[in-house]
Amino acid sequence: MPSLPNLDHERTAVDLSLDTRTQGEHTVVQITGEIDVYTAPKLREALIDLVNGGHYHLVVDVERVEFLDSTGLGVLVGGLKRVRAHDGTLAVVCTQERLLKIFRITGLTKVFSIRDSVDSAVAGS
Amino acid sequence: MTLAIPPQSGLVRFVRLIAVALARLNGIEDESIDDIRLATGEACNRAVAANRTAALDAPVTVEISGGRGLVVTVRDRQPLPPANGMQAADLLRQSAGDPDGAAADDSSRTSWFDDLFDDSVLPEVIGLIAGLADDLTVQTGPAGTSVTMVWRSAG
Repeated sequence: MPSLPNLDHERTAVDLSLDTRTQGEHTVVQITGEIDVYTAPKLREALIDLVNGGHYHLVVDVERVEFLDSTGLGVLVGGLKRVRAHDGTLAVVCTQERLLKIFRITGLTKVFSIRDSVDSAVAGS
Repeated sequence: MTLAIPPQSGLVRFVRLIAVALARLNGIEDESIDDIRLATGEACNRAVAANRTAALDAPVTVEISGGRGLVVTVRDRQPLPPANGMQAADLLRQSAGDPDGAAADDSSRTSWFDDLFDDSVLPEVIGLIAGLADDLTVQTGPAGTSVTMVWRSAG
């Protein structure tokens, strides 16, 4: 397993923090805060760093995300494209109805594997 | 209430907060509050990007009015041919820019929506807003674009 980039407890000035850990063959990215046009670049950089570091099986946990807009969705799609280029996977952990609604409206429920727990995401791919 | 913000993405958060506060003051049901927050932010982000794409320092204006629900209208100043409805939405997709360079790689929302949506679906953020608001009106013109979102009160 490649070493993890130093993303632990990164925090932007606008309330987005990322915690990464390994669980089996997967790299879990737990996001806390708001993902919008202002904070999304931080998440984009983190996902790029992970893929560049050889982490191709990602689980993105958005259970602690308070706000997610289309910019954030675009970053997740970008992450999915990157891991797929390496035959990898990107699952999203989400049970919040207000976030699931956004995935449904944009058609992304058909694109992402959306799971109700990290354990389920790790087991499902 | 009318707000005028410089075309800076960081200021959109304040508009979201104000929209939510006014929604609560106007008795909007809790289940619509998140929709108002997101849709208003999306419309403002789009308008900020439009002004910046057109190299305009002009403010984005946001009108929020209550009554039997909430009406939010977001206006930019990017000149476009006059259109409304689906035709206006198509124009917005064609004119969408990325002045910050944030979407310069394959994670851009443009390529994302290019992949996911065809011409039969309202494009990108307009499609998302349409799914969040009870009613949506989009008009483009030489003076800019207006996006009007309506949430009706159950009472």
